Formats: sequence, structure tokens, C-alpha cells
Amino acid sequence: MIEIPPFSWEALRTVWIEDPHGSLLILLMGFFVTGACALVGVFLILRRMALIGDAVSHGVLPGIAIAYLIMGHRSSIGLFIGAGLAALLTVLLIEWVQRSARLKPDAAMGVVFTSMFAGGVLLISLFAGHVDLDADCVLYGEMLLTPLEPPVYLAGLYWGTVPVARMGFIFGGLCLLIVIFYRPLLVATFDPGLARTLGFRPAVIHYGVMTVLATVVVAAFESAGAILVIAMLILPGATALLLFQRLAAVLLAALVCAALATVVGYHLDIWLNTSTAAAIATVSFALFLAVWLTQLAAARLLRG
Amino acid sequence: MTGSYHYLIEPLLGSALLGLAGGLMGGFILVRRLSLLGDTIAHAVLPGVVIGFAWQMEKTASGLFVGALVAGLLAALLTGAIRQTTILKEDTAQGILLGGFYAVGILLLRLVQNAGTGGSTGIEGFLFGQAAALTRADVYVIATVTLAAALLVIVFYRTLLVVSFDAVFAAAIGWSPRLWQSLILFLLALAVVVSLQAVGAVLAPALLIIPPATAALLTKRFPALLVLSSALGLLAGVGGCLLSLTRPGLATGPLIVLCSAACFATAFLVAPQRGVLWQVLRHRGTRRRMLLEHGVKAVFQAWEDRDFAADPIPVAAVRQRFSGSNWQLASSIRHMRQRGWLTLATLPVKPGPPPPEPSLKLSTTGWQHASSVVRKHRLWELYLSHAAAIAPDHVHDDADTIEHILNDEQVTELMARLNHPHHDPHGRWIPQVDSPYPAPRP
Repeated sequence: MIEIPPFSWEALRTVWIEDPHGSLLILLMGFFVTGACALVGVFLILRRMALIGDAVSHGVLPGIAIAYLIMGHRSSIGLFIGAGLAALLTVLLIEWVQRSARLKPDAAMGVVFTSMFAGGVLLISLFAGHVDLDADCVLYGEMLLTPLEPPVYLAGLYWGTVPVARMGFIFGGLCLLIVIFYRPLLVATFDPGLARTLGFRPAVIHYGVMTVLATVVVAAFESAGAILVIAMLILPGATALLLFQRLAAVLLAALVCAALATVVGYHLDIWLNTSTAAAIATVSFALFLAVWLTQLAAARLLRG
Repeated sequence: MTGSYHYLIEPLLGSALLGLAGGLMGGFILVRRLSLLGDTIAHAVLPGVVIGFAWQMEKTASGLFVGALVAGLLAALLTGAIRQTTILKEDTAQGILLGGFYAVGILLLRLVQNAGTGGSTGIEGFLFGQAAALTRADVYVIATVTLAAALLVIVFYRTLLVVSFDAVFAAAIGWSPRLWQSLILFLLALAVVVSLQAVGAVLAPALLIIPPATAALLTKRFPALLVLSSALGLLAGVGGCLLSLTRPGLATGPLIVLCSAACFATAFLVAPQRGVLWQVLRHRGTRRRMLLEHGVKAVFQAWEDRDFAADPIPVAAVRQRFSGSNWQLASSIRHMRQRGWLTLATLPVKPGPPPPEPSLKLSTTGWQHASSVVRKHRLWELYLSHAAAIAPDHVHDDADTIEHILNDEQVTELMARLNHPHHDPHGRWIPQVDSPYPAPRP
């Protein structure tokens, strides 16, 4: 039976009073992950590659499995490298298949990532039957563990715990990249032909976007899980695109959606006690549905 | 003895039929560029599965099945609605439903697990699949779905064909594309939902995507694609299931997908015409021919610069006329020498005796090839500046490409159209088909 626990403001307040530091870290972590995904996602949606996030986050499995087999234990850095390489391999394979076999992008994507995922599952079941390669962790992540990781001190200052600092670094770098390369990105996204004549090299920008995607997916994986990544790559960007037309406004709106989903989702999870990542993604989905249905209703009213 | 193999029948039959149904339905979504809709449906069924499970409170398949089907169809219909009412494209709409429904599903799943009623193994099975656990009843369901899909395709083949390829035309002759497409969607959702049990949510879409993609590499005709795709699906189903029996603990789903992927990889590499291997070989052949033609043209031009004097042509002069790298020129000269188009000679540089300057001499065969390439180049320059009224200083690049493509027939026609010209727009000589090897001058 599905039981919904009773809602109480008291419980929410208690969490903040008892552990304000931990809550803040989780919220920050959530925002860095969802924000980074949202920013990359806007470009993926505009480039009609929305589902490549789904493909990449499934394609990393063999990389994780092989890294595990080589290292023999769950070391963070090994898994990070293995997953990163597998992610890039997925992207390159998709492109190769698409170009050489003249398949449509959706078919090429489907062929590559399902095959890679199957390979990963097989590797795990062949060589690591007894391993604690936790499917649960890969799928859903465990954001609530964020405050328990070792802290980071740099230049005498406290920078939060390791995952927060890492994800914050990636989020900050991503923002910086977008600000610096705003114009080439804008032109290459909407008019690759014009970008080429202006000397921007759309291919370089494309591979840049793919590399950033792989980095974000892999970095977000351990703490946030595949579900949050796949959902957050699309939902905030799609919501923002319903509301605004200018790219800068869309990017900002996507960030706002991500922040809103993180805050509301975290508290929803405190209430329901489920999975932080799934709660944030659910709120994000609800946000999209609300905007979409409101627009539909408004359009109907205006038409009379 | 035969009795001990009985437990094999259900998984084998189930996998084979699933492969067949997936291949058949996959053909339709491949041509409509909806390949990943199967992926969307497979993930989006989760909330339905959980609600079906919670509602029924036990591990009978029917509750899960109905829930999955409803959620999957809802997601498929919602993607259509999002695409039609917003600026968002198909792939984004699919991603929204995939991520959103899956997140809601996990939320519900955790709520069920928290309620502590235990036994969520039925749900786990739906996520990761287990062909070995297929029961007789499951196989009946799978067989029914496969049969229904096959019958529908056979009976209404023409309608489905028209609706899939040209919805506007279908509407014009009075068939409702929406109705038929919904029917295809329904069958697709059915195919996904029945495969979940055997191969799981992540790999179920592979049954719908890989066999038709493989078939598309091998044929361009739609009926052949459907037959081939179904056959490949069947083959992968049987192969994967048999492979999984070779070692205990091997899951069937990944092996079915990997069998399928192996077929795809083979076709991808060696398919007639479209295989990557042939493409690479063809590409290499073309590149070598272009290199040769560029080289021989450079030799011609260098010689022309010297008014076709009898002396050997210094390689340095050829180098000036050659647009590639030194390495490319060396390789081009080597190949020309092997074909007997030219001979190498050395001639002493005028003031001091050594070192000798390398130079070469065009043979009669080389001359024929050279004048053919130059003829094509200059004819095309003339044609462009005459027929297309392009300024003479803009025609060179285009002619550089076309000189490798024109065939003899086209050259004859160009000659005729341009009244057998003797000079190109830059005023240079156009070698004729019968231009003799330049005679040694006194």
C-alpha cells in the first residue's frame, strides 16, 4: 500500500534547527548539480540532442565496471576516469554510427547506449558477481550523505565537503565558460552555417558542449544519481523555453527553475522520506506541467 | 532425458517471440524517427508499475501489466501533446516524460518500500528483467501480443505504410492518421511492456531499435526491412537466451541485446554499399586518384610554363604548381613513376656542377592523362564563365573539384556545347583529345 506520511511544519523546522549546516550543504549540492544540468540542458534542447544525456548516463556503465575491475575497489577517482572515458566514447560512437551508417540520430543513439549498457551489465555479472557495485546508488544517488564526506580546506577557508566543492567548481567553471563563449555558443546553436562563416568552428563548439556534458554527468553521478541528471538536463530548460525566447533569459530562468526545484524538492523529501534526487526531479516535472498547463489554459481563455 | 529440458522452453520461446515483435514494431518507429519513444515508454511505465503493485499487493503480473500499459500510453500520448502545443521538439518532449515519470515512479517506489509491506521483488524484476523466470502464462501473453502485432501488420500493411510515410496523403484519402498512429503507439507500448519482464526497462528499447537499424543498413525497401528486422530480432532472442545458459548467473537481457549489437556491428562494417569498410576503401581509392591527377596536372603546368621545352622539368617548378604538401607531391610522383607516366632525370644546375637538381620527364601515357585532367579543368572554367556568367577569377576552385568527376561523355558534350574551344577564360590553351605529345623543338 502507498502510505503518505502526515505533513508537519514542525518536522521541516526541526531539520533546519538541528542541522542547519548539513541542510545547507545538501541544498548547495542539489543546486550545483541541477544548475549545471539545467545550463547544459538548454543547449542540448536547442541543438535537438535532448536525449543524449540519457544515452551518456547509461553509456558510462561499462566504464565504471572496467574501472572497478582494474582498481579492485570503489575508488572515486578511478570510477570518475572510467566513467568519463566511457561517456566520451558513447558520444563519439553515436556520431560515428550516425554519420557512417546514415541512421537518424535517435536510432544511432539507441543502438549505441543500449549496447554499451548491456556490455556493462554483462561485465558486472561475469566478473564481479559479488561486488557491491550498488545499482541503487548509481541510479538514485545519495544526496543525504553529502554532509558526511570529508571537508575541504583551501587557503585557510572552509569550502564545504568534497562533493560540494567539486560540483561547485564544475558549476562555476560552466558558468564562466558560458559567459566567455556566449556569442559563439549562441550563433553556433541557432545557425551553424553563419557560425562557420564568422570563423567560430561549430565542430569545436559541438565537441566542447559534449565534453562539458560528459563532465557534468560523471561528476553528478555519484552523489545525485542518473535519474536526477537525466531529468534535470531537460526539465528546467524545457520549462524556461516555454517562458522566454532570449537565450540569456532562458538560461537564467532555467537556473531559477533548478533552484526552486532543489529547495522545494529537499523539503518534500524531508516530509515523504523517499529519495532527495527523485523528489527534486519530481518537483521539476510538476513545475513544467504547471507552466505548460497554465499556458494551455490561458491560450484557450484568450481564444474565447 | 527430454524432461530435463522443459524449463528451457518458456524462456526460449518468450525471448524469440519478444525479439520478433520488437523487430516488427521497431520498423515502424524507425521510419517515423521515433526510435527513442520505446526508451521513453520503458522508463515511464515505472509509476504505473508501482501503483499497480500497491493496488494489487501481490506479485501477480496482471496489476503490474495494466499499470505499466496505462502509464506507458499516457507518456506516449503526452509527448504528442507537448510537441503539438509548445515550441518544444519531439526529443525534448520524450525526455520530459522519461525523466519526469521515472522520478515520480521512484518517489512512489520508495513510499511503497517505506510502508514496509516487503516483497517489492516484483518491481525489481520489472526494472532489470529475468527471462529465466518467464512462466507459461507470460509466454501466452507475449505470444498473443506478437500475434496481434503480426496480424495487424499483415492485414493493414498498405494503410500502415501510407500512414507511416505520408500522413498528409493518408488524411487526404480519408484514412485518419491519428487513429492509425495511435494504434501503432498502442502496439508499441504493449511490446515494450511485455518485454520489460524479460529484459528490463533499460534494455527493452534495444529490442525495438537495434534490429530495425541493422535491417536499414541492409535494405532500403520497407517490406524487406520489416521481414529482416523481425528475423534479426528473433535470432538475437534465441541467441541471447542460449548464450545465457552457458554459464550460471548470466542475465538473458544483456545477452540478447549484445547478440543484436553484434549483428549491427557486422552489418555496420561490411554491409554491401553502406558498410564502413567499403566506404573507407572507396575513400582511399578516390583520394589516391585525386592525388595522382593533381600531380600530373602540376607537371603539365610546370612544363607549360617552360613552353613545353624538350629539357626535363625541374621538380622545384612542379612543386610551385602543386597545391599539396611536399610529402603528397613525393607520393604522387612515386605513383606516377610506378604507372610509367613519367621518368626521373637529373640535370646539372647551370653554374656549378653538383648538386644535381632533380627533374622529370612526362611519358606519352603521362601526357594523355595530364592533358585529360587539364582539359576537364579548363573546359569547366570556360563553361562556368560562359553558361553561368561567373567571373573568370572565381571559377578555379570549382574546376579543381570537377576535374576529378567529369567522365569522357560529359567532356565530349562540354566540348560540343562550347564549340570546341581552344582557350580557357584566362587565355590558356585547352589540350584537345588528340593533341600530340609536344614535339622536341630545335
